[in-house]
Amino acid sequence: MSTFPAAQPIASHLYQVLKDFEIEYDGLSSATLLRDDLDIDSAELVEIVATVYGGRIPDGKALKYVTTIGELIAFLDGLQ
Amino acid sequence: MNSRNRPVVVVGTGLVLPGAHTEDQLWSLLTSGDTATAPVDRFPTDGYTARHAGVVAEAELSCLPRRLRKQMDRFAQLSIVAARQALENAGFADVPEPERAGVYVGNMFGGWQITEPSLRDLCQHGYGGVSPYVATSWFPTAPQGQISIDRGLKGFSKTVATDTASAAVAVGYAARAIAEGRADLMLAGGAEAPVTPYTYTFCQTSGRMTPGEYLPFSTQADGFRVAEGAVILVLEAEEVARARGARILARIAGFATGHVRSGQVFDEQGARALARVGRLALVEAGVAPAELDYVGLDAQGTLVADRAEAAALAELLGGATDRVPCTSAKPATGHLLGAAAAVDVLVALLAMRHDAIAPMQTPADAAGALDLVCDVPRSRPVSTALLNARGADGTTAALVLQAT
Repeated sequence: MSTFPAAQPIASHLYQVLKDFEIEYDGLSSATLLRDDLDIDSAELVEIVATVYGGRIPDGKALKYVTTIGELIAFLDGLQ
Repeated sequence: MNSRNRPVVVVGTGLVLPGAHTEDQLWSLLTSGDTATAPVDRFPTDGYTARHAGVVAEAELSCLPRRLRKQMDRFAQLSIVAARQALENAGFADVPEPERAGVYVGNMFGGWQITEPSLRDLCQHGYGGVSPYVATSWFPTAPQGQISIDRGLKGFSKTVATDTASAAVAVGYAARAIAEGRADLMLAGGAEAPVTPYTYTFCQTSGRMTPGEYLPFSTQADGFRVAEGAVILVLEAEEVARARGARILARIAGFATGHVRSGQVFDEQGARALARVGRLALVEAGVAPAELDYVGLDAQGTLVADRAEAAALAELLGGATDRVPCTSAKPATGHLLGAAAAVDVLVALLAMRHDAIAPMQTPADAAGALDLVCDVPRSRPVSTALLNARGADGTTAALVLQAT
């Protein structure tokens, strides 16, 4: 069973975006690696963040340190 | 065997063209006498004098998953489809030795279909509207990069941008890489997607497009119609191809390229330069001009450029000028610009396969002494073909193909 923290609104919004992007993965969790497990590269990561936040482009340098789903949720949380 | 001059053969083809995405469909188009160029309906063409172009049906790109497609411009998408088809056609599920396999692509305009909306958003709403994929998708080398990633190629690869001679030079240099022992397998060809508002504007303002029909070597010749598409060939060392029992389509027996000042490439200087590279390519192939069965024309489709090409061929072929059949598929598919010469290679291979030369639909009343194949296909065995290519940048190139 997924340990994905779907209860948090931002996380479920992210989850929906990943689904819309056809990014599939069984057992999505905080530890899931963006690049190695989901094949998300730096450009797609920017697109994901911009889609979650309706066109806002994130700081590319800060995104360099976002490597897991958990870190991405924390990053998105910080943008709210 | 001298590894510095190994014979190189074509073992597979892949194509995504207006009106054709298989060899049989292309041959049908060419022998039908029709053109796949049609009125442009993707964007308003008011104010453009040239309103017909060749476009690829959307269905041809549907095999690419959305997640892959979204990060590329159209010309790279076309190149991926063609590259996959080419490798499958050559009998490869995976490339056997990736470090010994590369890709050379000809292109002249890069990618604007993905770029234009971003630039528009930038001006209207700020940088938030710029796609994160623009950086890796607009430049001419995108197909080289995406094909390498998609097919796992690790060998030296390159993009050639020499105007309408790009793909000829790409194929020639790719063949040389194998001949000289630097690679065993090469994908080579071209991809172009010029039917977007911005690129079409370049084409319009270049003055090279016809407001009417594309009629090379006729008194009405006043330019070409452009087209989008991709053709990728698989080249292999002949000894390796034979050892694995590959189907061999032809040998790339000769190649030469040269350069003149850009303002001269379509005049008498350019004619001499084109004759020269043709001669060099024939010498490398060990073929006398009179032995040629086929010439694939550059066919720029203007009075001046066509006259220069006719003069080049007359100089090269001498007394055999009126006996070597010449043709071009460019009016049928539209001119694929940086990718056009790869189409020419493919069409020559089809002529070899079918023992027939497809016609070029043109009145041909300004062909000089050339033997132009027009109206209907001409049945005759084709075992040696010369392909001409010129670029407005001043590049001249010639390829010689030989049936094995």
